[in-house]
Amino acid sequence: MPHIEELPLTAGKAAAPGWSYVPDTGYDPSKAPLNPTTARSKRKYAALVGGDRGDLSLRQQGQAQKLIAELDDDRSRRKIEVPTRKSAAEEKRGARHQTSNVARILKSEKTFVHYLDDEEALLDKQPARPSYNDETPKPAPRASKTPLARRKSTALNIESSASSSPAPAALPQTPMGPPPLPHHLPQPTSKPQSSTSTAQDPSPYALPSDAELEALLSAPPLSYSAAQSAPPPRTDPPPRRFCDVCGYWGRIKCLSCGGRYCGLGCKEAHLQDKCLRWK
Amino acid sequence: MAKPKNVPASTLSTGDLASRTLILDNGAHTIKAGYSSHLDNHAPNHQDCTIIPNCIARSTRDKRTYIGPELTTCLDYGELAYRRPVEKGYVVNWEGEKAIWERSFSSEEGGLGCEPAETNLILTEQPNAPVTLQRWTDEMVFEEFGFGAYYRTIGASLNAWAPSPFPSTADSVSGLPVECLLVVDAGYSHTTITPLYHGRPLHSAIRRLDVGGKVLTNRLKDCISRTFDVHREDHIVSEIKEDVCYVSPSPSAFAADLERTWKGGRYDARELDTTVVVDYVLPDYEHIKRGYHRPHDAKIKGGRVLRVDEETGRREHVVTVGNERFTVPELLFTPSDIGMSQPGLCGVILQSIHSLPEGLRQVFLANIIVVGGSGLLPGFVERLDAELRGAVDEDLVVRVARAEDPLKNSWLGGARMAQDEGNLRQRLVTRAEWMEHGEGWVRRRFAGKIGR
Ligand SMILES: [Zn+2]
Ligand SMILES: [Zn+2]
Repeated sequence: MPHIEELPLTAGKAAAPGWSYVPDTGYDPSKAPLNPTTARSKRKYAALVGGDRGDLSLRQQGQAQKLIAELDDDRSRRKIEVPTRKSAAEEKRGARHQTSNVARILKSEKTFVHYLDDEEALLDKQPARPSYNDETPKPAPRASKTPLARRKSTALNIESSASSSPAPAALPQTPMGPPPLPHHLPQPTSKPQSSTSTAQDPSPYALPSDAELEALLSAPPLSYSAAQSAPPPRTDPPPRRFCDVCGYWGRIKCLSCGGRYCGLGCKEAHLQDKCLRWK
Repeated sequence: MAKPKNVPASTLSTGDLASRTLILDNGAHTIKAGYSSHLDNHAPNHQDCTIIPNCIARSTRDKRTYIGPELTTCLDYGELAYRRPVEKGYVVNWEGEKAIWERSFSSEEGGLGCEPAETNLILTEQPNAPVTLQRWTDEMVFEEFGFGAYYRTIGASLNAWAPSPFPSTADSVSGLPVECLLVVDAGYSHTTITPLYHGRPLHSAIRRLDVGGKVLTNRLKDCISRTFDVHREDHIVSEIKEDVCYVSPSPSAFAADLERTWKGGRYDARELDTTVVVDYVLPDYEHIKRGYHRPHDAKIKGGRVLRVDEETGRREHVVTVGNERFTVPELLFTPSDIGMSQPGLCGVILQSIHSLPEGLRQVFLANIIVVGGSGLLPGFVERLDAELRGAVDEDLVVRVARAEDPLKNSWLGGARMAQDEGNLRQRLVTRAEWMEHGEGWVRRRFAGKIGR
């Protein structure tokens, strides 16, 4: 966020709402720890990964929603007929006729929103995704007491097939053998605990137990809505605003519509084309 | 069951598996498709994968309708209207998808020559799919197309089988379980974060940022249309995005570039910095088949011009592209720029990682791979890496890499996975099983609730 000096509002109307970009004193990512340990940093982290914000006025929110919906639209609803021609599959199939399910599926005019609504209606009574940002104390993180050797033997550390270059998939061809593991990521090959910094286990936390992992692996998928990212933390700087004419910083707020422009150079264009005053 | 189970003796007899498997990464914008076989020793590579437009397009100029692979024969992409059967990453319109698949499976030009009854199908889907849509997909695959055997899976999970993008260097982190991968799939409809453990998604930690390639292209359309209306030019604007857009390395670099591309105020006009501001010559599909860019010519005022090229004597349409080059991709990292109340990619990744047990966080932080079309934007990986580093404790290791081919990486992983018969047997459902057990059973199989 740049420091932008406040320009004097020459109009000087007392009622003119002031605007300014102030030095950013909010969220500083470099100070937010990934694994917060102190209560304060925990709060800060909670704010980083969750919470909602009330920066925008209702009207601005409405405008933003409209813009986002437009940007996310395919804008190609212009109906294009699917040319009908008998496919090779249909010809081959001959007598075998379409099942009623397939016929129904093919005729459907539903869009994604319909399916989403159906799903939401179904899920309504189920509990929402548990909050991962709550302040409930977690089991105290263990300092690195587990000997490295033991850790290496934990479930996470299955033997490495070591080759991490784009090795051709020389996968075992034994028909009934166990499936090969997914590609192994590089492990330090021949550099055990020699060098100080790289050999240390970087995680101060215990690896999850097998039971924990199993629970994690068998957790059901989240719904479409639940998988959407949570809003940004309240401590984030307010949204940046841009000139709606040229895309530069929107340093001036239009007194009529709340839109932004960069200065006198774009004011006229704003009033002519962009201003929502009359819209 | 932290270790993958040994596969018990399969109930499938050898004859149940077709000799080749079609891997179909069914994206909203393009299909990535090609074969793999567990019976030969050919290691699948990017060349085995065909990219097929997943759309039906209608040209108002030659009045033709192009279905899927036919679009590559189109000579004039001007004002094409599109119908895309995949919405938000899921097949929503099967009438359209059926036409595209049938054309793609055909043995006509650009087709895959696929005979479904004699083919195993591995089909990708986006995570968090509504169940009805999954059902309908299974129904179509078996009942309408009649594939011999089939496995539906989250596309991101296939990346676990692709070659690692991380160089095997001495500075790789020791003590890390290496079978963990955090897949950032920056696709057309949105960007998803999927942590994988041995190739299996950790569902509770999957997160989605609702900014994808489509939003960027539409945003670029709006920006360019301030001076020249390109709202009907999906294809051209998408190419402009691919040709000139980039991700700023940092918010301060963003601010600096914004200064360099500003025309200045009324009384303090500035020179535009032509290393950032470029002129884009639009294709006319007569002499210019594909647009291209060059440094901005200061004589071009107001953002667009129809001019005569001095060397060739031909008329050309030029639009000036300035701050759009970096303000548009910025939406991936600062969605609040358009008032969206989601954090940027870095914040979404941290939400995902933070929802995992503490002991796993470092490992995923150090194994982040970027796939999907937007991953091709210059500066994407560098910005993500820098933001993540700034957001976590210094002693944590952050490692972000772009897949060698972000578009085809999921496909390649699938193709490599399908080379192994054990993998196939563990996952595929045959048509006979579908008939015998029904759709609910098949869905539970794909969800990993019923083992073999
Ligand atoms: Zn302006
Ligand atoms: Zn206004």
